[in-house]
Amino acid sequence: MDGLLQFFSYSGFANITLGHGIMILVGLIFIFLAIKYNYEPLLLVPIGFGILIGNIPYLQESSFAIGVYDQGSVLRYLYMGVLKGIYPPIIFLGIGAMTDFSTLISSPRLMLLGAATQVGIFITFLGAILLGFNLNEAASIGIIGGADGPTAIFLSSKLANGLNGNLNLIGPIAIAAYSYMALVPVIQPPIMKLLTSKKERLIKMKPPRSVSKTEKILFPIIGIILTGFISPGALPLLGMLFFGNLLKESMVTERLAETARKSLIDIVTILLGITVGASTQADVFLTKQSLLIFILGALSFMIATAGGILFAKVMNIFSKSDNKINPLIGAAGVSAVPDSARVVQHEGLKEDPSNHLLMHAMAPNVAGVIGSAVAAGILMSFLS
Amino acid sequence: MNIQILEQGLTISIIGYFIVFAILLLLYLTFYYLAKLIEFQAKKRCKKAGRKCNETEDFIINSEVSAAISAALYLHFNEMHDIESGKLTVKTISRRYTPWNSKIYNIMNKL
Repeated sequence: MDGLLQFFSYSGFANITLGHGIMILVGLIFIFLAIKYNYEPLLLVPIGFGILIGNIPYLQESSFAIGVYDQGSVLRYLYMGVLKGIYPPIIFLGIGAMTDFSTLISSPRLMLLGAATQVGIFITFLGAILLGFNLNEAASIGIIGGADGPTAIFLSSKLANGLNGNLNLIGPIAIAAYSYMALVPVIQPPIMKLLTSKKERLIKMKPPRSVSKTEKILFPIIGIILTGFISPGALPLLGMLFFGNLLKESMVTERLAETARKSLIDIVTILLGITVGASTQADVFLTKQSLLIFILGALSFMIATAGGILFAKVMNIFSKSDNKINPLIGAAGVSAVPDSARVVQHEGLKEDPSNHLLMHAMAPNVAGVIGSAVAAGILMSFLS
Repeated sequence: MNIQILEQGLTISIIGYFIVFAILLLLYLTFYYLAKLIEFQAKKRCKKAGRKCNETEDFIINSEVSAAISAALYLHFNEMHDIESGKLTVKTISRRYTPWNSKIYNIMNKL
């Protein structure tokens, strides 16, 4: 009988708390949203399942090494990829190998939209300081506005990793970033409607010109030299992004590009999702700070979207009448590739079924990836 | 809240945002002038070869055509299988078994 009682004391049923129950419910909601509504399923299913794994309760005093925070556990070793910032650059390699920068090269002025949306990062950074976070934590929270999960994880793993007197905010920041990325189709359309007139939404943009192979090959090379020299902090992310793109565009390393954009990115996405999910153990995750991070993250997304749209309107003042920008594409400047570009296409088609904005929106969308990585690099070089 | 931290934050924000803008502006200008340079070189080359320079002009496809091409490619790559009957059939193969040839069937993976 004693043996049976001891076994029960080790089981999840004996150790469950309200916090575990809430987190398990959150995990189930993630899985439900991914499967039922197809919201970012490649991310939400691993993260949701990771939340379940991380929140199955067990006797903390036991000598079992189970969770990501237990020294020597398997999950801990896998979590090292997050903690040491290994996974995000590999994901950037895959993104580079699957991204076509043609529209950006053909309309380089749209790069400025990718810069304008980064206003969300810096305003949220200030907001987080006002709410009492220290500089490192505030920078990690602000980067949620870049709408780029790997960048958010990369920066928080460097600045808010629980070391040097900083809080460990990797879990809440990653969950907030990915949740809002999944909610792009819900968050952005009202802001887009609010800040644009019907006439502006109907603007038809000039089709992008065709881009030569030379330009495509030169883009990652010039890109890394320019961004790397100015912001070396962004090298791990942008180096891999541009390297992946060169593998794709050079046409002589197709095998490597294929691996980077398929198998490699898939493997790392699985590991990243499951370990980030598992890091949201109730005692670490359910705090006042997490709630503030979620509020700031939402604001960050909204400000970034508004920044892109308003800047597109400003650019229109200086554009020729036959070369106007549809301000809706400014919203795609928040990275969230390719979801925010898809939202722009959808909203454009609602106004005019013959106005396809997807190709145009992809330009600020990929510029946003570069912009948010540069912003992360700058924050890192100021604060680490 | 510490005013000094806020001041530091404000400085980082202003400088940081300025640098992000500067980098993307630099990329914009580089690729804007690179395109012009490539176009100029192409025109020079075709002039030298005695061809009409119009041949190097941009080939612009309007958005409806691009959408139609994309849709066709999507259908081609994602719906490559035609509808199959769903009937399962068993093909009988007769062969004479001998201790001499049995292993070779396995090695050559023949039915």
